[in-house]
Amino acid sequence: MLALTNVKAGYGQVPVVHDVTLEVRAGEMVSLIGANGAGKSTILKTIMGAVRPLSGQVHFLDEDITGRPTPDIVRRGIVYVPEGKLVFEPLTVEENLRLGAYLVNDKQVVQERLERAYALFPRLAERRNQRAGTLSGGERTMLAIARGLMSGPRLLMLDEPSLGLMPKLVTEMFATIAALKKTGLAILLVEQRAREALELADRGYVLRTGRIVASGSAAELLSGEVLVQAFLGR
Amino acid sequence: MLRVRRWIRTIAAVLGLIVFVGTLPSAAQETVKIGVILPLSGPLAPTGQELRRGYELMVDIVNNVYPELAALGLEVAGWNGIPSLGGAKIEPIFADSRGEPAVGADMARRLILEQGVVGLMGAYQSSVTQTVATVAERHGIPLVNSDSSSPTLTTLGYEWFWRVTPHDMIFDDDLFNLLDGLVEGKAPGVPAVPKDSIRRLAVVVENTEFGSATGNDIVNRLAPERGYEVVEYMRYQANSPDLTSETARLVNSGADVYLFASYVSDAILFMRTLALRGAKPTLIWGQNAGFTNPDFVQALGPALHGVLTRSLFIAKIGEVRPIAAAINELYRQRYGTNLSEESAREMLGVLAWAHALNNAGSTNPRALQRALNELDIPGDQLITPWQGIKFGSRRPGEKNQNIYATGMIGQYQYNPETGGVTLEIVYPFEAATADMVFPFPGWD
Amino acid sequence: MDVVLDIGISGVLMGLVYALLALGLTVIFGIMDTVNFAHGEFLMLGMYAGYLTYAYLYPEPLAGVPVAGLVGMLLGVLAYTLLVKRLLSGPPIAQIFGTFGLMLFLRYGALAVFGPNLRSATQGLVVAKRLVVGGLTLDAAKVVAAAGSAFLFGLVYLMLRRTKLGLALQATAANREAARYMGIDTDRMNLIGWALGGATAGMAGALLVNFYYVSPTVGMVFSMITFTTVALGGFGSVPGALIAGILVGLIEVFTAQVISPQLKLAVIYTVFFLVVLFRPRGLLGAR
Repeated sequence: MLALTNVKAGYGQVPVVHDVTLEVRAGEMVSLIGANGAGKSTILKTIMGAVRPLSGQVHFLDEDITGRPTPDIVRRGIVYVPEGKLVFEPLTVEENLRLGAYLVNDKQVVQERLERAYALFPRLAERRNQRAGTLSGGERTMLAIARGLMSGPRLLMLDEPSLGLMPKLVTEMFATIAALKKTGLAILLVEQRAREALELADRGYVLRTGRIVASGSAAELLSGEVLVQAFLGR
Repeated sequence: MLRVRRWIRTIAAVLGLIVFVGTLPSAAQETVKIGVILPLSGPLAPTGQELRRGYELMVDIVNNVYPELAALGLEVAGWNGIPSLGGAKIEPIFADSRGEPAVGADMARRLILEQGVVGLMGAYQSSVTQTVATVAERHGIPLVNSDSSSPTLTTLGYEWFWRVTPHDMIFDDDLFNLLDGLVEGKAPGVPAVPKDSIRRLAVVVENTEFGSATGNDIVNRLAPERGYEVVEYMRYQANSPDLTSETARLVNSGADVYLFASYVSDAILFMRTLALRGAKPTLIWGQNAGFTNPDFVQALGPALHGVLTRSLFIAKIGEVRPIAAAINELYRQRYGTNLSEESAREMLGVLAWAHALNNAGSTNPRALQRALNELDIPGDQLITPWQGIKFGSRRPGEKNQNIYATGMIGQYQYNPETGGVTLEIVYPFEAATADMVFPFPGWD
Repeated sequence: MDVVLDIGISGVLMGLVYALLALGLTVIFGIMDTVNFAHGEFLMLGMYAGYLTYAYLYPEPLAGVPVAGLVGMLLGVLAYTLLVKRLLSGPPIAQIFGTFGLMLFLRYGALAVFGPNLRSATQGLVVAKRLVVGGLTLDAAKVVAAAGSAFLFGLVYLMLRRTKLGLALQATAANREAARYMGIDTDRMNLIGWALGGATAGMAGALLVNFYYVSPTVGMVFSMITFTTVALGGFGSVPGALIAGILVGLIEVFTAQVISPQLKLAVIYTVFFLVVLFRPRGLLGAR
């Protein structure tokens, strides 16, 4: 479904990630784990067209989408829930959700998805007319994920969804992701919390200082020494 | 011995020939360089061009023969150069001050040292004229000014500075002469009016050097001196986006006479807002600037009927001064417009220079200084209704100011037949070109 | 006639005009955090568009309003695509110098093309006309300009609150990066912001032609008061611009009436300074 081949990308002429080759298959959940600053977000932003790759290709559904503009990538069915949630603070919860469906022109469809989002996250339904800036951290995470689902994506990319959440909420959030996985949605999850992320995933990649240092099934990665090496650099 | 003497004779002959050849053609082509410093670029460039035209036309009249002007009695029109200098032509050398005092001073220095000018003119803005005057003073080169109106310039004790045209205090005097004249029944076509109908004054000036100079002179000197009461002295923010409350304040002051010192933008806004309010004072007068601007007339048209403005020069003067009419015609042929205040100013300046050069019979600075000090040009040589040009003092501490210089006061009058608005002269009374409309008739 | 009421109404009318001038500036700033220093010159060219339409096509200044709106929009589009867009990749100072340069270019370009003269409309439906309402005499031209301002504010506000495009513009203003991940073409939003800003400035200019003179430097007269209005209301806030405009209009007339005409700008700037000091985001600013 999604395939990165020898991608080198970064800001300006300075590469942050080198030679990344990575794949997400239909209906699969893949976790990309690595320490802070390893280049995880850069990979996701490269897929989104927000960062231009210096070399290598990105394919989605067998089409080359390398360096395409972001709206085009969203239109093809990839959605990105950015790190730090990035909700539209001055706008209401409902307006935020409607913006998630910006590229959907069928009002009927938007209405249906809106109802589905409220069903999935009843807290958001309660606060639908509240400004997003007044939400708590957990609620923002929900809003950011719900907003991502509004476009009806084929692939959902989550960037550090657990960041800044209380432990109880982290558990809740991973449960939500598990539920989403059950619907058959392909998910690419980027996390520092390697263990939780791999436990949910089918497969995983470990990123260290911009390079993939290990990959395999989630079970393999969890059992081996790889994780420790990846994080501690030994 | 003989050979030596022959050698000496030969050398003397050659030298003599060189001197002869050197002097002869140069004597015939000798020009008198006068440097003119004007704001030829920058925001005042259009004014600078206007000033320059007046200068060029009068230089042309002095340098060549204009029989039709000479026939009217204009002496310089028959001269064909400066007679006492063997017909030497005046050669104008223009320098751009860009409207900046420092640049003006620098230009003056260069004109004197590099171009060798025998005299200077300019520099329009009083602040620039002042720096140019200090340079002229230091080098002992005469500066004849006819385009700056700050009263200070002739009170600084300069030995090398003369002003042909009136300064602002003289213009203010003119206004009160007109008011007093109305009371005395001297104004054309207006029977004597009771002083009480024009006693209460509102003085409205922009909060700049120009505005407060006029305002303070009227409020502190002339009103008390001549027995008028200032009921409102308003210094307003120049270039305001809106003047509604200022106008309301003015109307509510209950003044009989509104006196303005404003540039054109504010002048238009004030008149429009007054018209909308239907304000009806007895008189409205403007201190030149915005009130004589063509854009002011274009913007307001017939609504201006009855509004007064002071001006140095009003083209209508041609009706009472044939020389002015003829020169105006010449100017119109050349440049397509009537003589303006600016072009008239420079013409007067060149005229003063021409007579001073002729009287001096030399370009020696000291001789020129004496000639300027003793200059006495009769009024019939001028395009303004003055008694003449003669430098002296009109008030304590003043020096080298033309004692005969006065302004004019014009009144916009609507002609229902032509549908046009003309500026008629109502002061000086003896030069009036129309009966004065009094009181101010309102705006409709 | 009650002076306070008389003055107050003229303050509100003029205030609405200031608000309209501030509208385009605040819209552009809101969307892309760029201060358009050439805004006063957009206004000036709008005035010329209005005046020239009046002088050469149809002798009614109000007829120039749509023309000036189009000219302003075009100007906004050109300024963005040819200049501002190229500066976005540079440091913020580049945008400041860029639009400042545009201001000088437009001002002195207009001086070269139109000459330094002041031009004024002398006839028209509301030119130099009085409107008497309940014993108060109002300037019909200002009433029309104020009504036009209120109308355009309503229009822009509805567009922002009720349409999908408006929502996208607000999203871009709130968080450009997140907006891009929604599939919003933020570059196009910038362009629309500049088109909108230019169009409102142009129409404001044409409305001014009914009672104000036109000159190449007229932008200067309104620039300071416009920037103050925007900052007072909160950079990027549309309702803030409306309230601040009216406030500025009222401060202006009452200062001139009660204190002194020469202090009116000083008082406006003092209020502005105090607001900046104690509430840096302005009265209704988001940040």
